[in-house]
Amino acid sequence: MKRTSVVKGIVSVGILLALLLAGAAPSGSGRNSVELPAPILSLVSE
Amino acid sequence: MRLLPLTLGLLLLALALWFGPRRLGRLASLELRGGWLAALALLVQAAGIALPQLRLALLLISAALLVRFCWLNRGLVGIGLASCGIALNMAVMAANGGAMPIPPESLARLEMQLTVGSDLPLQKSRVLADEEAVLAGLGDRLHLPGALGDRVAWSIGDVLLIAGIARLLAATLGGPSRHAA
Repeated sequence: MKRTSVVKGIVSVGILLALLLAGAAPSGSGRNSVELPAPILSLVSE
Repeated sequence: MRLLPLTLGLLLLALALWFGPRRLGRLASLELRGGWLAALALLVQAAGIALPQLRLALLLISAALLVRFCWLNRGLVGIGLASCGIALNMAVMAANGGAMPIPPESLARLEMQLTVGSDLPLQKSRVLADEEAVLAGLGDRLHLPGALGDRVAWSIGDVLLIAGIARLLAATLGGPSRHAA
């Protein structure tokens, strides 16, 4: 793949990301971690 | 906010898995016009978060920029759907002083504790009870099932916008190199 094509693709994704960030307005909890389900958590802790 | 970049990344990953990673090269054929308008709209909205007293005015400026961007790209698949989503979000935010209303019940699900009328830190949202919000049904009140639902509340406009972008990306990766509606 040509370098110019890669740059064009990245620019397109960047524009769509800007559109998403400007147009959407979700509310997030700000928490970064997702709690593991209890059975998996018990396996990890063992 | 990392949530939306993550959403777009997951969308691309899913489409790459569906159509094959080589198809990602077709993103280069996606000819979006006026990309600077979307970038400027984002900057203006960021300024609105930093300057709450100018939030409504800056929201309207960013909405005008987004309208122009969508008009320039109206011939692309999915942009119509995305435009509907943006219009719904802008309408409800403009009607509520420039902020997206989130009801206390949804906020409780996110395990956040803020008083009614206060803004969520570094976000576009404001805690408003349904009887205080205008167009409350278009606010952030949709939750995914399971644990993910405790992390984010979405609006109908968000869903339409993401669906429109997904449709555009799917048409780009799955179809021929040029995509007219």
